[in-house]
This record gives sequence, structure tokens and C-alpha cells, in this order.
Amino acid sequence: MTTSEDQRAPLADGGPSSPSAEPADGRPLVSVRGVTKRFGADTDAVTALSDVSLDVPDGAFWSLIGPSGCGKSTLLRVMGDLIAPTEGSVTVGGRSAAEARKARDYGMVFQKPTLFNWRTVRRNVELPLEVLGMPKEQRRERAMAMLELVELGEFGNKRPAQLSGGMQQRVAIARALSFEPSLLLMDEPFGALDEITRERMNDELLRIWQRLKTTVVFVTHSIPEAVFLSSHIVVMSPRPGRVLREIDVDLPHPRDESTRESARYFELVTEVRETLREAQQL
Amino acid sequence: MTTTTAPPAAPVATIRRRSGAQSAFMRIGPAVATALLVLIAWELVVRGFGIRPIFLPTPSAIATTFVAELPRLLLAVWTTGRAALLGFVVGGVAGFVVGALAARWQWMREGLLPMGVAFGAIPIVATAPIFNLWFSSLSVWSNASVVALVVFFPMLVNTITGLSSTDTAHDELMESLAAPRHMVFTKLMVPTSLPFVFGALRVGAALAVIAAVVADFFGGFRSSAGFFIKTLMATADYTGAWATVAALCLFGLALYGSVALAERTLTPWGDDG
Repeated sequence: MTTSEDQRAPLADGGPSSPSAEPADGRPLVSVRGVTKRFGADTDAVTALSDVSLDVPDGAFWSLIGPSGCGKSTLLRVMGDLIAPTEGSVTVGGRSAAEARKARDYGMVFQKPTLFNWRTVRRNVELPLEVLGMPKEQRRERAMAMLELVELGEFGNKRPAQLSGGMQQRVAIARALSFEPSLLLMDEPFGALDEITRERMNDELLRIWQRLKTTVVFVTHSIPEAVFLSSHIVVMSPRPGRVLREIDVDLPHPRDESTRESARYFELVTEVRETLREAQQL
Repeated sequence: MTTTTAPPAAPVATIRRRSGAQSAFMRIGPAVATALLVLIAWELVVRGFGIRPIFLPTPSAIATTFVAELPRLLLAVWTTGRAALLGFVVGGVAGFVVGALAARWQWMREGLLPMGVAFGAIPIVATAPIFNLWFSSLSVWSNASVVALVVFFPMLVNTITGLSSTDTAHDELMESLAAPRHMVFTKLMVPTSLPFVFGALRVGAALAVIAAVVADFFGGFRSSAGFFIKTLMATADYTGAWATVAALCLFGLALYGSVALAERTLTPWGDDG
């Protein structure tokens, strides 16, 4: 019973944790039920999501992939209670999405690093902890530990503008994980990075995920990225946004360069690609 | 036959960042040089064309009077500058507070902004006699109120703009953290608005001195700079009037410089690019 809680507290020093978000064994952490989202008025409403149902198990790494307009970012925001669904519901650890957000269950990483340029790198990582009301000393300690985790320990006193795009996004990840949320929501976090940096970030993210065992929902439009990172891929198609197919990724862990060169990896990349191509023809 | 030479020493001195004093000099250097050039040209033109002092005295004559009359000039700048400073602070704070309320509530914005615009359009020459009537014309608040009204408007507009200009992703970040409203205000909205607020303060610093001097013309202390200029003009002491203007210019520069310095200190991220 204690396994997942133990694994999730590598920085255990009495920080905020949300044990109530812990699902009972075998139950999904995130449960999306019949979610439909329409934008706009009745006559010219656009259906961004149509009857989406998903069950994300605790500790899993799920990717949402699909072409632009398939509603993957909208789905992520519905999960994170930043957008209310028109129909359907989302629960996280048995709570509604709104309750989960108020209980600080979500760590968010956006496409842009969205750091506060008026704060130092360390104070950016401290932001969620300030919102949670953690005492200053503890906050500082935790932020430094998180920066160590993303290998930016020496950059705490720098300004975000002094860091490269990849480093800024690592700071954003450190910030999102600083308060040990039970769910990490990532919206195309590496979309703006070059291919080489992106692969390095993927390696790093997997390493962190393996260590923290935080449940991750990851939006991307990169097929290799989705296959390399995920335990499970949800392929979506546009107009209206819906789930086309779910693919389990059975690549062994730990994954590294040899994973990217394995036959199974290429098979899975092909499988996702062909599914997406079918979607285009629909 | 070539011998191996030691690698050239790295030009450490040139790579090293400019020291604080040096970079400060680099910043004000062009301004000082320009001012000197203008003063020299002015001096030469007045002497060369034999322009009578009644039309335009030479800078050297103004400087001589400036030094000779320094005690009276200091009193004049103090009297007028006090009203300018008071009004600057009161108008600035009021503009920010009302702007913050307007940024928070849509209906307040819709109600207050037109009124702010209307206030901003009232000419100083109209407000000055009214405030003289309301307060005693021998109260510093009379002229300070004229200044406050002038500083209020740019501050109101810039505060509303600044507080509303947060990045959508930053808003989503704070929302995902379920940050209470007061934290969104202090940790996100206020820092975002600071460059706008300082923009208003820079404009306000210049306007404050103008408004204070214009208000002097409608009443107030006999020691004020405006009254001084009026008297000197009436007695045809044009060089003295110019010296008073020069003193006011220096005060305006000092006020503007203080705002710029505060801005550099409080928004250091602006330099990082």
C-alpha cells in the first residue's frame, strides 16, 4: 500500500503532499467520462472534443497525439480544470477536477516556459511553494533540490533571460514538480526546441519520471517523442476532436539511445504514423 | 625557421564588463555633450549676431545671475518643487489605486475611465484658480492639487493597461495553482504592470514641474518660482527669469532622474533583454 507514496517522495522533508489524491489499488488516477466541449454559440459552435473517455492509471505516462485542431490541448485543459467541459466529467483520485485543482493536484508545463522574468530562476521554482504558504527556508531548500534534479543547480540566481530555451523549460518542469503534484500536465513542452535539444529533454524527463513516479499526461505532435516517452499513447483526430485509437507502448525501461534504435521502437512509430494517416483520410 | 611562440594573451581587460562608473558615464555622456554643444552654440550665436539680452541673454550671463541669486533661486525651487513633489506623489498613488480598482472590476473600469479622461482634459489654467479658492491660496495643497490632477491621468491609464497585460499562460499557471486573488495581484499583476507604471511616472515627473509653475501664476506663495518669473519679467530682468527657468529645469531633471533610478533598481530584469 505504501509503494507509490514512497516512490513519490524522493525529496521527503515534510513538504506538501496530497495523500487523499491517492487512488485505491487498480483504480485510475484520472478518469475522463464522456467529455464533450463546444466553443461558441449554438448555431456556429465548434465541437473541439466529442465524447472522450479515458482512464489514466496512477504512475503512468500518457501522451495525447494528433494533428492541430484535434482538441488535445483542450482535453489537457479540461483535465486540469482550466476549461469546463460542455458535457461529461473528469475526476482525479476520486475528486472532481475543480476540487483537485484547489487541492493543488496539478503541475502544469506549457508550450512556452512561462517563467516570471522579474524573478530569479530559484524564485520561479519557489512560486508554487509560496502560493502553498511554505516557510521561506524550506521553500528555498526545496527549490534548490528541484533545480539539482533538472541539473540546473548552479543557475538558481540567474535570470530566466540568461538561460537557453531548453534550460528555461527545465526550470518550468522543476517549478511544476516542486510541490509534488499527483498529476503533471504537459502541453507540447518541447515543441519550440530543436530536435537535438528535444531528444535530450526527453531523456531527462524520462529520468525524472522514473525517479518520481508522478503520473504524466503529455500533449505532443511529435510521433518519436510520444513513442519514446509514453507508457500509453492516445491518438486523436480532428473535427470533431475524438479518440481514434489507444496504443500501449511496451518498450522496456530504462529507455535510452538504444531504445531509439530498436526494432520495436520503429514498429510503434510506424503504427502511430499509420493511425494518424488513416485519420487524415477520414 | 619558426619558433613556437607563446599563445597571445587573451585580451582580458577588453572582455571584462564595463565597471559601474564607466557604464554610468557612457549613459549620461552623450546627454552632457549635447547640452554643452547647445550652450556653446547659443553663446556664440547671441554674441555673433549681437542679440540684445532682452530677447535672449547668453548662457554665461544666465549662469552668472544663477550663482549670484542662488539663495533666492533655491527658495523658489523649494517652494514650487514642494508642491510638485507632493502632487506627484498624491496623483501617482491615487492613479495607481483607482487604476487597480478599475482593473479588478469591469464596471469600475467602464465608470472611471471616462471620468479619468475628462479630468485629464481639464486645462491647468482652469483648475488652478478653483483649487486656490477651495484651499487657501497660501496652502501648499492648492498647487499640489493642480499637480496631482495632472499626474493622475497618465498613471490611471497606464496602471489599467499594465495590470491587464498579463500573459495568458501566466494567468493559466496561477489558475492551475489555485492561487488566491490577492496573490495573483501581488505576484503576477503588479510586477507585470511595473514597466507601465514607471512609464507614467516618467511622464508625470515632467508634467508635475510644468503644472506646479503654471499654478504659481494663479496665486500661492510669493517665494514661488512662478511668481518670481512673473515679477522679474515685469521688471525687465530677463536674465533673472532665465536663471529661474534653468533652476526649474535642473529640478525637473533631478525628479526625472530619481524616477529612472528607481526604475532601474526595482525592475532590473529590463536590462537582461
